[in-house]
Amino acid sequence: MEKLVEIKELKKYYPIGRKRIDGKTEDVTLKAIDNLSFQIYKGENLGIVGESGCGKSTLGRCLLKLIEHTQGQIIFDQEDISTYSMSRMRGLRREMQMVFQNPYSSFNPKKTIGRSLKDVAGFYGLKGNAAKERIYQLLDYVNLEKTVMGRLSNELSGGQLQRLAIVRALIPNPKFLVADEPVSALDVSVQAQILNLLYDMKEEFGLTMMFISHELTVVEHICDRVMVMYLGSMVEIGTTEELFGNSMHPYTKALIASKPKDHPDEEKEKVPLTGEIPSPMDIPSGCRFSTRCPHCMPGICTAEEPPLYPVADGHWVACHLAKSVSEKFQSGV
Amino acid sequence: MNNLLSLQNLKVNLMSPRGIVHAVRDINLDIAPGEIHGLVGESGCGKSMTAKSIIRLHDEKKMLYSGKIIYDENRDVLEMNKKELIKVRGKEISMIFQDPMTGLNPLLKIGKQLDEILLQHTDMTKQKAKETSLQLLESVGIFPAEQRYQQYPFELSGGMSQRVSIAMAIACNPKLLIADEPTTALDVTVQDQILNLLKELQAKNNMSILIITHNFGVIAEICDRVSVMYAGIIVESGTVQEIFDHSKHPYTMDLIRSIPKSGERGGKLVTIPGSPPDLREKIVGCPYAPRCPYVDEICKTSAPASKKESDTHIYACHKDIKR
Repeated sequence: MEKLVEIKELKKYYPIGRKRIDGKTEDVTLKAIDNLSFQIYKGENLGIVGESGCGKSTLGRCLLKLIEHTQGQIIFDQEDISTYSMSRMRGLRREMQMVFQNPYSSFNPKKTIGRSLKDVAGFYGLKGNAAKERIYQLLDYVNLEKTVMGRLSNELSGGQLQRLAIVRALIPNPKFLVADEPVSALDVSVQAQILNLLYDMKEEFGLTMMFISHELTVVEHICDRVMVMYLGSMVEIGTTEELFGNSMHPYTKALIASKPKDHPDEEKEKVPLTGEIPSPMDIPSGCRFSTRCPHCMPGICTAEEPPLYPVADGHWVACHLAKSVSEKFQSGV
Repeated sequence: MNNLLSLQNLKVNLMSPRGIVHAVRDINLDIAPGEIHGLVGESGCGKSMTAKSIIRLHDEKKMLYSGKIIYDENRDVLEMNKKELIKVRGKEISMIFQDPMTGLNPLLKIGKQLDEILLQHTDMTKQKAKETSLQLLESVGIFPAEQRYQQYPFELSGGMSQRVSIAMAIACNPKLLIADEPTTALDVTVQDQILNLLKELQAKNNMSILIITHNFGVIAEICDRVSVMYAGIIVESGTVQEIFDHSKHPYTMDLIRSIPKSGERGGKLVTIPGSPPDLREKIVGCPYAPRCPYVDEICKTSAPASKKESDTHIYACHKDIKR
């Protein structure tokens, strides 16, 4: 499979200030993304899941270079864009677009929707009738009337605005779309419309997508592969079937177990996950998850950061417990 | 069984600059002692309006109520004067909100905020109030309580703040806890913890909970009975099994079918065309008629009356749809 995006040892640190510890002053940094490497293949939809504060939104923004990363490489379509300046990125923006979580804050409240969309089209070199045609074609695709062009954003519903945000992202005909929690601000019935749309769109426009969400059922429904993040690093990655059917990392298991039931009579497997995600300014030593892990092995988990072990085709787990499974898999037994 | 709370023909109208909003249009809802009742619906259906009306939290200069809110069999909340209301609010009926941060005063230590409720509603001494507060913090899973007692809300995470608001809400052993989207702002893992906590506290104190949510997962997780709201009315009400397995109203069916289920990959989700009606306008016929796949002529002209499917299950639809 061909790679569209490749991330190598990506780091995003935010300096927070200085702190005096035992008489010494030390720099305090917030490690939003810590040493992350992965690929996104052409035509796939990669889901990113994790609790708030795990760095999933920061990752989306770093990939599109909306914010500068601290270290590491971002390769987009065989081009290393890590060192590109903002102005140089402008030319590439037509290839990569983003849809944000809150549709209400995604549009300028003082501009009509038509003005907002035409401005974007103009930015990508579409003027006059060509711009109009493209916009009408997309409005039709997302099932909106042309009359929305004359409206202001506060006259429209969340679902309509999110569809418009998708239209805006599709105007330059991008190759890559990052959707950052695109349905979490929407009602269930509207959520279904947007999910169906995103699902069809991928085929229709040959898009590659990165879908960031904290809702596991949504990710399971729409994504081809899933990556689970915890405190700025990857704990598990695999195909959706592998990850939901055969998860290995205790954190992934806990996440899946804590999702609410589909039906009141459903029996739930209890995986105790106590506490909350630690502060990214003070990441636990060894395995990041060791402080909350029910299977933590003192001396190993608290001392050594687990590498990513391959446990099945395309399925990698960062947990010491997966070592023996991985050895079996690699020796072909 | 006697009801702890009974809403009878409740209507809530809100004066807005752009006309009167008929937010709640004639609803009947009973909550039995010790039950967890879910009120579910999309945004703008009037579910939060209903919840806030129960303890009259609205700006009453802008509100018009009619109907009855009978609490404890013979007391009508709408008839109470300010003094009586203050005694009930926070003591017998308390409420927690979606955003835990806005429910707490950012300028006061959480311990002080907890003490305040106890001092207001009981005749405890300051010392006794502090001891009780510490116990409360521990009962909602906040450790070490002594240290947290001295902290300000900004020092707590979202899940912790929601625990503190729950501790405040249960401080006086209320008979009814109203939880307005209590887990919407939280992560799944924390949501699970909070829902378990609510279930535990409900069993321990034998209080009733009215939980407002748009998430059917939350309903499936903790509710005994469910009412589904649409455009200011309750379209269907029944036990959680009746609603999930034998729903009779097309809106309930569509809502449940539009949620992605675990283990399902790809495929089309059911969507509901159109959008909810404008609550400023008069609704003729069934409010769901413009979006309903089973719509008939009668649906457009006359509003359906409540039909009884079983002792616990009622729905408002002209038709008898088989699934």
